[in-house]
Amino acid sequence: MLDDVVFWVLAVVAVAAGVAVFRVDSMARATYALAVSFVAVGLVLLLFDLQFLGVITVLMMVMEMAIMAIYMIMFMGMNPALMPMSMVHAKRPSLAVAVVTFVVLASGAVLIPWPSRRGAPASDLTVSLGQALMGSKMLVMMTVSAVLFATIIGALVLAVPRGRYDRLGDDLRGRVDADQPDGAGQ
Amino acid sequence: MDLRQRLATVAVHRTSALVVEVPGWARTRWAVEREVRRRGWRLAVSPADADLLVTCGRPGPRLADALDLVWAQLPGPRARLDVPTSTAVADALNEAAAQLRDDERQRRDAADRPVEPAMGTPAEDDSTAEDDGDAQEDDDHGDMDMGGDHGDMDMDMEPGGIPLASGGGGDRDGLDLDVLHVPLGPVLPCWPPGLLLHCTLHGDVVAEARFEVLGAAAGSPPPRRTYRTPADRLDRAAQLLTLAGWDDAATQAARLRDDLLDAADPAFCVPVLDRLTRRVRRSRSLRWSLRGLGDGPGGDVWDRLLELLEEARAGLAGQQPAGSPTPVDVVPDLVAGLEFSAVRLVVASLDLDPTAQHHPHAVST
Amino acid sequence: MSELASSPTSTAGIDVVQTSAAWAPLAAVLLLATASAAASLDGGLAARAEGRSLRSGMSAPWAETARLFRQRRRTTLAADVLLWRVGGASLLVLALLKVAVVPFGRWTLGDLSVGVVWFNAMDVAVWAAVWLAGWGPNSASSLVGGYRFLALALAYELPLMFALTAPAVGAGSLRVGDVVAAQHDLWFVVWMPVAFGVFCAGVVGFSVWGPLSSPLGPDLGGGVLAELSGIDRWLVLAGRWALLTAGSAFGVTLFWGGGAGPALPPELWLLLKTGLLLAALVLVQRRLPTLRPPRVVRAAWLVVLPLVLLQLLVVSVVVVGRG
Repeated sequence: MLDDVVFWVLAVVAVAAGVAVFRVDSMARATYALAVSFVAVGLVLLLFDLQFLGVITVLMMVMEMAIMAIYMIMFMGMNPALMPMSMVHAKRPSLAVAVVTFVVLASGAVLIPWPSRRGAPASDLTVSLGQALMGSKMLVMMTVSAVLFATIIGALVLAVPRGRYDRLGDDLRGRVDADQPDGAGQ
Repeated sequence: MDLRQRLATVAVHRTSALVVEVPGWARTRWAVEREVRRRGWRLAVSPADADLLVTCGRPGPRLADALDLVWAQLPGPRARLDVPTSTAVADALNEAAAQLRDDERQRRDAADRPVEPAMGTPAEDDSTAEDDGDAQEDDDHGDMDMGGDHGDMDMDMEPGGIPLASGGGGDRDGLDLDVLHVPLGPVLPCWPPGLLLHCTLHGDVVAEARFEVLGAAAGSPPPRRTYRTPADRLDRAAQLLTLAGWDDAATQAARLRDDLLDAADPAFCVPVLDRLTRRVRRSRSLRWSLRGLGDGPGGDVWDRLLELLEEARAGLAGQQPAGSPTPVDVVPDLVAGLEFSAVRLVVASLDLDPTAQHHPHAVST
Repeated sequence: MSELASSPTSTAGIDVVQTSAAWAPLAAVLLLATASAAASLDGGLAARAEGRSLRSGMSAPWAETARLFRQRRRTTLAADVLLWRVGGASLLVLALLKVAVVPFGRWTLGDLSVGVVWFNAMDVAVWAAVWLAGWGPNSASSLVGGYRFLALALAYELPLMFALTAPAVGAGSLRVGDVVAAQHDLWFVVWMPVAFGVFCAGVVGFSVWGPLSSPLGPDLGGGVLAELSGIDRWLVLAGRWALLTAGSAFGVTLFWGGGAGPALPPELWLLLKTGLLLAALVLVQRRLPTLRPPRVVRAAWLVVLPLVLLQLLVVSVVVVGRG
């Protein structure tokens, strides 16, 4: 009973915060509305006794949104706090994509004949999760993490075509003698 | 005594004072700071943090305007004091405490104030020469004229009447960060009195700066000059240590400065100063943090801190102070390209003396 | 020390029992009481440095509380008030959520099987809280403070994560109760000193404390605090003390054998040890200057991270060697 109530509350929060991402007019609010949505999903996972996955979802998503805040000022041309702006771009195509995705996933969830559970879950799900990830799938995980990291770095490099590394050095007026000991150019 | 009054009585034990020095009135500021410390009050770091605004000396019109703006930013309960001389400081602070304790008075004051924060005047606008000159801890973007001189702003994009920051062409990272015009000073703790530095910020990096000195009121009697006295050296060291985030050592330096205010016996002060110097010299983390910062003719910030302490020692030993202050116009060149915190440390370490009339064209009353 | 650790009154062998959530207010009171004791100590030390008596400064946090409760809140032009207030108020909540997984003697509020990860998730949430508090007021100095915190967080968080991993590897479990039980013979601080040191640095980091307090630095006019007044300011300041206390309590649990100790009940031992670690952190603030963020970031990535990884390697080898 209590679980049901908690589940529904979290589910509503997750969806409402997800909607808010597109309804608010500030980057900061959109970012943290997304964080709230993810946190609610993470907490729902706790209800399934998937404690590790739930907590790690909360951890990763909050961290991700904080990093997003850094990217936000890096790549926004104007002061995003003050400029009310629409969080929706390319409305029609995105609407079409969203509807199709939702229909496919939802119909899949409803129509698939889910198998009934055979056997019982392991006593410690964290251990079995760790064994699954770090056992036979180890190679995949290692590769994926390296690829993801390279993607992030690559995206940053592409987004900042002329960084300080190859332009001015650390000084703004063109003295390239690296006289600022703390400059990131080092 | 009702609850509100009791709360007020307790609260006044920890009154937070924003002490502002008009150029030349250093001795008065020291007297106020000493009295503040003696009572267990503390010094505020920003208007939002302050209950009490103390003006030491007679400000010129522009500095007075800046003070009025800061006064409007004090959250309240609040009190304001003008202390023209270093005598009778204790009585003035007693009076302020009584005002702060007076709940009825504070409630009337609160009722008279506008609820919405006011928009400041642009700090960059030279044509009007009306400068709010507000501290960097200023409460809104209103008086930071953002992007005004870039001329690429669409006037429609002014939510809340605030011009937007603009991406600057000269951003060193090619990141198109906001360009903000943020004034540093003149009402700023641990900052040369009356100095107003108009900074153009890319993120938290100062791209360029322009300075002005807001002086004292015309015709006010010039107070005794303190430049290069041992107390002055210690005061600068204390400010530098405060900015470096080392309260204990800063307090030690400030206490010694206050002792000298009473013309204390050098035989007592010298060992204390030596202890402080040893402590600072030994601090590896302070050295690590300050080394290599603001390299100039007199070495880096660390060197200049030690030099301040050594000069104080020499002064106590009876040597006549020698040397002249660093001209203020080296500041813009030194701070360009530095991060915000570095700017504060570098400026505090420089031997600036805004009362010296090196640049009459830049001093406005 | 090993005598203490192996004493029969340690919690080892006793299963940690999860209490009802109704005890949460008591935990909150305990947390705030410990935090205010630490604040009093800090006030006393500050007063002594200023040449007044230790006792006169002990009441400073209370006077400051009265002052802030009486002070008016303020808003700034075009502030994002919602995000600002949420950010400021959540520090206190996060501190409480952190202590929820700390076993207090036999009892704990939340006996999560991944308690260590929970703690970590909560200190990552501090990133969001501090940044929001800096973003909200629409003020340059607050914003710089908020971003400074993110820069420092990127420096301390990764080492902190590995420092948290070491005791978990040593105990073979992410459950906080198991970590305490695994220190039955030897406290982890003895053979994981680097991890303990890095953990303390992490506590200093997420509490925006001492050497890592530059997001609130006087050079920024208080940084994140620059525009806060009244109850909003109190919430952030109290949240900071509570985070420091929660961090100490967790550090004691992970590295100093939790409630293990002779003669006294484990609850009292936990409080005593927490108080000791907390006092040490208060002294750190008094003795060390604030480090400038660029230096911290450099040192954290180039020195501390490799060191803590080495510590983790040692711990793993020992654990594998033990079988």
